[in-house]
Amino acid sequence: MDYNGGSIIIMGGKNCFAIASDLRFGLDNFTKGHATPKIFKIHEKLFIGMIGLFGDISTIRQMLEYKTSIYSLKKSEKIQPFGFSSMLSNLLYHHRFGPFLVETVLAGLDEKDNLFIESKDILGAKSPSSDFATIGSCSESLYGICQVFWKPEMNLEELFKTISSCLVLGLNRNCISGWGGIVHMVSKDGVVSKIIQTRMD
Amino acid sequence: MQKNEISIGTTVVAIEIQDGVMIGTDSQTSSGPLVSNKISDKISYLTRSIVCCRSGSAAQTQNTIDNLRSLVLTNLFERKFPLKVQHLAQIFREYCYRENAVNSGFICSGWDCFHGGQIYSITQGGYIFNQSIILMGSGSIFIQGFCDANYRLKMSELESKNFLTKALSLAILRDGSSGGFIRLAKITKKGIERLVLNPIKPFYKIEVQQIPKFILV
Repeated sequence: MDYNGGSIIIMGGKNCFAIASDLRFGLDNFTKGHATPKIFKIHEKLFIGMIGLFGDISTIRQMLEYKTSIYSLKKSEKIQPFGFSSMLSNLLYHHRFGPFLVETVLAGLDEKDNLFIESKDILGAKSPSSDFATIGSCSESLYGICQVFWKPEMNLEELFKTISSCLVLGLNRNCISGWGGIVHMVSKDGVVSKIIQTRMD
Repeated sequence: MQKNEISIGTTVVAIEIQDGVMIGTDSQTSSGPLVSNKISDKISYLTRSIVCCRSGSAAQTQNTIDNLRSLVLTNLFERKFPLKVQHLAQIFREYCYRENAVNSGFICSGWDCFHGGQIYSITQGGYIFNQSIILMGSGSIFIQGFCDANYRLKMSELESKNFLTKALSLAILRDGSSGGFIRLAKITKKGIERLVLNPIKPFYKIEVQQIPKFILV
């Protein structure tokens, strides 16, 4: 898990959420690139973030793309967060004895714009939360940082300021995450993405 | 080495300049993926004009340097003239070879009145060699090509300061275990002068204009 590195934070607000990740692509301590976000969009109101072995991240992303396309063709509607989460857990547990080395975290808004935040381990065990979730190489320190700065019922602007300061604080003390950050702010009005400057060391 | 023992993944560049020696290091100490110290000083003083840069396990290198400082004092009492850099480097080598100090590398450099500025590198296991430019640490592999292309013998002080700043900024950008700011030390017959700099902007702050669209699907 500490080979490619990376960190992701999700914070929930009032009928909206923000998801942020760093942009580093590295092999142990060698930084190969600084334009690799680890957040993928399933549809406008559902985002998934994955940290772990980059090869497994690509594989799972492609499998999920296939399954969600088949679902939306059959049902003529977008997949809901709760259903997607169960599908992902099933996919991960399918490889119980040779697992994908990937930790995932989901954030979405369902049809009534209720918030859905859930993190999973490598075998697909669900762990829902109502405020924030973090995964990655500095997830322990990020949990402490987010606990201090998170407030309930924030709007999008406050969410952006909070999540970007938490991400920068966590990345400053970690060798294998960093080199820039990207934040997606999602509400019923759409998605706004911003890139944040961090220390490049 | 124990898991998550504090180790100095680092970048150190030492070059001979016109009147002496100039050394540059980064300032980050890491323990596994955690940055334990962002403002560490990897240049340790041995005498008034000889310094030592350490890389590898922090505990082992600090212990070796403490033992060597007491050896230096014993030697000073026995002689009338100041210690030669070559002599001190050989004491280092003998100590590292006998104690079999694994996972530690040193650069012993300084100025003496016999041969001017000199740099000696003592690698793991106790091999010593002398060159005009020596790179050490985990981040040094990323700037080997840069140093091969841009280094010239006996540069002036300003040119070598620019060279060291650029080289260290590039290593800090690429190496995960190097970071923080740049510490420079210049050793001439006047003694040791220290300087602290930030990594330079073109390499340090890179604007990411557009994330490729397919990554977001």
